[in-house]
Amino acid sequence: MAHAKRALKYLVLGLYCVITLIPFLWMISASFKRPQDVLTVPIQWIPAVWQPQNYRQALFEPRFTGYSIADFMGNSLFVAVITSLLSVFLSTFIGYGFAKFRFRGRDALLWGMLSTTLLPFSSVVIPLYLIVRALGLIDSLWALIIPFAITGQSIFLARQFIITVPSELMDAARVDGAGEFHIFWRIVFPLLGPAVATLGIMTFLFSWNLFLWPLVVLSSQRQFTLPLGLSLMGLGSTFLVDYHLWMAASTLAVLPPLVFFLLLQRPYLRGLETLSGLKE
Amino acid sequence: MGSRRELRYGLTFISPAILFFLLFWILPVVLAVGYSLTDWIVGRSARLVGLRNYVALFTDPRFHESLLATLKITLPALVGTCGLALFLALLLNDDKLRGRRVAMLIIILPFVTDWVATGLVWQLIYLPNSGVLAGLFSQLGLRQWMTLRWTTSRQLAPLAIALFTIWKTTGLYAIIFLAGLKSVPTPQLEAAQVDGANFWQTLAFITLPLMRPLVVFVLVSAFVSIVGFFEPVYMLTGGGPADATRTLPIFLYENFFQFHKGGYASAAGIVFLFLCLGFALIAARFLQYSYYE
Repeated sequence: MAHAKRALKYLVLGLYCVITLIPFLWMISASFKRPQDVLTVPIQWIPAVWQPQNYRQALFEPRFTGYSIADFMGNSLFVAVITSLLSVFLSTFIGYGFAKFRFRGRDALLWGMLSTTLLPFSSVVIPLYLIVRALGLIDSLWALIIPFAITGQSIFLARQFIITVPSELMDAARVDGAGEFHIFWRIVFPLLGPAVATLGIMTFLFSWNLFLWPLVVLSSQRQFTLPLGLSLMGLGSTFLVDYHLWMAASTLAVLPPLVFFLLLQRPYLRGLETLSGLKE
Repeated sequence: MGSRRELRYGLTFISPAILFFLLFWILPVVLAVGYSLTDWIVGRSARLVGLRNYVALFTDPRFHESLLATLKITLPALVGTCGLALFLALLLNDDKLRGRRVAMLIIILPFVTDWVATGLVWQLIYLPNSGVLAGLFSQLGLRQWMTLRWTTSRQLAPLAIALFTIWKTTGLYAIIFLAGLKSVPTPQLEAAQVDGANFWQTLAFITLPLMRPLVVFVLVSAFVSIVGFFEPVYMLTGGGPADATRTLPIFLYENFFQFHKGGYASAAGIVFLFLCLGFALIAARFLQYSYYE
């Protein structure tokens, strides 16, 4: 009975994993195919003829006005890396203020900031666009970085980590006459390795996967990020849609966040648990 | 250690956040409220028209269609995502299960990858006659289903988007539920089993009530994120056929960025924002103790 139950568990979980993976497996398989082999019934899971050169073509062939997927990838990397770095420094700095000082209105402020995370991004897109336009950042990569350098989520995450740093360390430093910024930078920040990893991976994935925002603020192709370039790949291609190249480009777009996620899976999953309000 | 000192340094450390939230949250909303009271067309000058945009919005049949489409996609996607996530978490909540870590990583894979790349794949999955689903149906002997027009028929398009959304987001909530299940103290579960409770009774009367804050968190955050999803609709149907999948985010996007109706779209945006905000604030009160306990 117990054996049968366990077997059923494996079966159901295995089935769900296969269903989850099918789109990825099909994508990778199609990315190596000749165009005429992509959409066939029955499905060819193993390409009849392997075309690894699809990747070179998808990556470097100029798409619209001379920019290629490789250029878009560079923009995406730039944006995601800078946003993550800024987020790590700013959020821990702010989180320190929320975690280690007591003053009136502190909790209300944290609540205000945290409740912004319960708003869907699409509901603030127009207001955010208006302010970014007023700041003259339209069509600049900084428009993708600055508004996401600080989020309610990242502040909350940083605070939850910093709260576990023993206050005695800081008090000892204060007795020695160290200034507050010195204490943060030299004593607290070096202890935040796991928090840095969590903040870094979460911000990187968030930033890399942004789509609606770049769609509305970027207009020149020189600035396009990868998801934006990818969504417009159909434009300017030959009459016959190059599905095999789409799939190669999609695989390339999925790869960097995937590698980064697999490397930092533990801090990432810990971040999800912290955000859900579970205690460590 | 006077409290003035605490206040001074506390405010110093959080001052970047205060400035940031004023500049990127408060001010933009004030701006949008201002524009929503004008007849602004992007690129032209604006004139105050009072509440006319709001009146027009609530009498606009396309806005009503949009609310309906949002509901038609959000409801199945929400039920599917949360139900499936809980089910998977229950399956995974077993320390003796082999390959549990691998299964967790696979399940969350769609969530960490981007909407556009996976959306392109799902476009081809849904292609009638030659797509991946059609291919799978033909192998399963369901040839009559191969011709289903998943993204271009009024009946199926909302379902197609909901399915894509469920595939994309379930993993996140499964992982969160799993963490919650692991935090349920075992003595209570063992006591229930001693008393002869079966699996479903234990779940309904012991496990879920013990994780109530987490269940609320998952329902709330899944609802607000699914209601606000722009990408799955944009990638699969673009709002069509006709108005069948023109959800609120698509409605806002089209009115502002394509039709350039700045004033009208700002009004619609404000309505959407305050609907979500009201919901979020109520939810936040529910959630409060789970964060601070």
